[in-house]
Amino acid sequence: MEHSNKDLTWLKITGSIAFSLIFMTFGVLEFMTAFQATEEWVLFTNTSILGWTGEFMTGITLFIIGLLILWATPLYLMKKSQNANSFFLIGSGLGVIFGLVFIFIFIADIITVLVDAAANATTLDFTDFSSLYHPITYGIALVPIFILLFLEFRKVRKEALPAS
Amino acid sequence: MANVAMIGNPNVGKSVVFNALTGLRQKVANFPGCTVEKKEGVCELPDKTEIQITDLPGIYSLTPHSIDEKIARNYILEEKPDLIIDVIDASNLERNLYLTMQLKELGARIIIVLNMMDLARGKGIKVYAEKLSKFLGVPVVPTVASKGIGFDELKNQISKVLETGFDGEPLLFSNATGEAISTVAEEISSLLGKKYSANWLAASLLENDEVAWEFAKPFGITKEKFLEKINEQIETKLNGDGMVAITDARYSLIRNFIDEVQKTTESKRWTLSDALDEVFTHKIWGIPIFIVVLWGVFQFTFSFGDPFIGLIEMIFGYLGDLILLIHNGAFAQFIVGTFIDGVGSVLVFLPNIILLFLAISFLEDSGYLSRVTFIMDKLMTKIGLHGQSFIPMLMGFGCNVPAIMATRSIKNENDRMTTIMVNGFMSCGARLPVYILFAGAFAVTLGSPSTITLSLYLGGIVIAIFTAWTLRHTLFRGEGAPFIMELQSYTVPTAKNVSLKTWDRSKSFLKKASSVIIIAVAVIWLFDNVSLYVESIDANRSILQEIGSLISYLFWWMKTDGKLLGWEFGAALLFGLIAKEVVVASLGTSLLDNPDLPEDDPTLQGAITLGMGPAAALAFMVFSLLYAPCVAALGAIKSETNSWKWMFFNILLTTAIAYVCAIIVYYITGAIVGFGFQAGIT
Repeated sequence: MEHSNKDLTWLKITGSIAFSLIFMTFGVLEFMTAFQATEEWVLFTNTSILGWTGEFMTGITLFIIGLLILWATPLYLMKKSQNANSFFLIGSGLGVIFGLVFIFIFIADIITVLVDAAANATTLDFTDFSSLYHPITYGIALVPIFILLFLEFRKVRKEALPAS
Repeated sequence: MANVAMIGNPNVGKSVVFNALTGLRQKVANFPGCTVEKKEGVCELPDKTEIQITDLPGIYSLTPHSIDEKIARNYILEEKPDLIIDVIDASNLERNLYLTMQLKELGARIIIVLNMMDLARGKGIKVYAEKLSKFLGVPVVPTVASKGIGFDELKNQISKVLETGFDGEPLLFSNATGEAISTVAEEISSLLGKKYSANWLAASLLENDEVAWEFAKPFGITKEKFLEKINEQIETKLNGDGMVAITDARYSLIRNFIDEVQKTTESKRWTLSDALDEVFTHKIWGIPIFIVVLWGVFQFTFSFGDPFIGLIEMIFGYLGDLILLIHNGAFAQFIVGTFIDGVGSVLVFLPNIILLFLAISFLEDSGYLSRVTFIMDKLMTKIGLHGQSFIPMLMGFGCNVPAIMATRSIKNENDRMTTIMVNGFMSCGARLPVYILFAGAFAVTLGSPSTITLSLYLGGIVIAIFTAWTLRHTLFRGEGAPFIMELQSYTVPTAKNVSLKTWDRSKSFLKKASSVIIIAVAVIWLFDNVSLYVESIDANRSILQEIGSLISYLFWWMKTDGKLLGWEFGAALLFGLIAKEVVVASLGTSLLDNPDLPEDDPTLQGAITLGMGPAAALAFMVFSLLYAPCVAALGAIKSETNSWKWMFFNILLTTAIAYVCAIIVYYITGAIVGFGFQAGIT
């Protein structure tokens, strides 16, 4: 039992580092788009695949979520697993919710295209889709982690029940 | 129809129980003689009879220290409801039962709703409802209101109690406290008759409750006749302090049975609630998470609302064209100018407003907003302001009027005055159309509308805190009062409750659009089409143009490519004092009849980009955020401070701060993006 808990902790540490790196990297790249005025920002240009224009505050948000998830790592190493689980849970939860917000944005873009097509009596034109909606991808990737951590806390709730 | 009152501590899920019982059959009024909101609703019982339920303010006790406590007690004493539904939090039984004890002292007929049973379980607390019912001698119904569990049983119990008229056992204190109460009760009972419970009045007089003396006066029970006897009882039997002795006696009664009705299992491991609090109230992470959440709310509000704005704009456009096609006379132009261009300009933002209120209601019901108050409390205390001040400030995000009224719960007068003075800086929902309109028009230069709106909201909070600090160290100096804050339990918000709250808030926006805004826009349209000069070269200058020009001159520095701020914007700011949405309506009326509007973008946003550049636009938004609140909010300031002086002071203070901030923002933004028009506009 102790052995499996140890394994799970290392798995969580690995997950925490991996996801925080993803969120923070894309957060910084997106944040940099605020300063895209000069040609020096080649890095940004390289990331602007599929017409992704990026957004300043999205970058900050992704970075904060990444940092929140990373905060769990030292706590796991210091054997404060309950505190660490809390940070990992909230970080992944925010990541999932943020992905959900972008799903709404995606739906909104589809409705806009449909309304435009109806108003101008033209065919559907998807060139307006300027975002890569990448936070949706990270949000989906975080769902299993979030559910696992959530169930761990739910399990505690049931364990805590007194015998009637 | 039987009259039922609902009572309970704050944050016990009382509103959820009320909404579940009454559904959409609710109406909102005020309690007599004050502006505290009274919610009433009708509930149908299983036997098809209907009852009227009145939702009383959330209170901790019936000892009248605050206005809410006075209202609740007076309602029970004067209206004498047929039944009181006492909603208590099963996870916090001991404290919640204090109010129950006081209700029993009053001799009220009660049913206890033992709510949040799931949370109690989560905390390792098992509550035995039957035992509690036996000890208190009243029916107890366990519920999980957020999941709709227990309401059939509750309705059955209400039916049963109303039918049988079961009153339960009266509350009797033992020992010296009981003796003191009995002695005083015997003295006054012959004078009192049956209107009020003699035991309750005796206990209240022993507690030195001034309001109770007022209740007793008409029966000839006056201080002159009875104070000496009461003081004698206090000195001989209650150790010289009636209030402490009786409070202690109530808790002693609760402690006598509390161990029998609940069993707690201590868990060394954390619950979900512990985990959420560890992060949401963290001293480093609390505020960044709040910013992320707030930005998520705006991103959702703007992006998801955007296509619906397009849809409503399109419908209004077709309607306008249709009206002019049928009859292109003066009356048709008045209708189009007022309803389509004016009111329509505001109504197109309805989707955003609904989405914003939906998100705020969700956060409120989940328990997250009370954590925001908790993390802001430290900051507020540092600036010398009462931590409780942030609650009305947060409420200001919805509407400043109830927020200003909510300052009544702040007991320290200096804190209360400071909170009232800065409340207008919190961006209310009515200002949202202004931000959406301007931020959307200048998104190309200024960046995402969500980010601009987030900056404005946060800017409002910063200015409010800075102004509060200044006021607290100058005009409203003095010691602060300690603040004990109870954190609302985390719950999964129910779709029903969130949608009811959203509908409630959106309804007031629609009401305003169909009353105040229509009248304001009709006046604006008339002013825009009537000239003061009948036969002169200025005959084309309308009254609105004259008024607007005067205001615009005050912003002589807010130029775009050397061009002064248009009179339309000056007029909009002036009429925005009626209601903040009128800023947009006024611009719609005055700008949309411009023949120079580009054919490919004949919208209000397109018209605005022709009138000003991004630097002026951002300064305009900042001024709109901070300047004098609307007439309704000013009325609330007048009634809450009971002074015209403070109302006018508020107008001057907010407008002066708004003016200075607008200048600063204009020059900083201009230095970054330039003082010209947005690229592509000439």
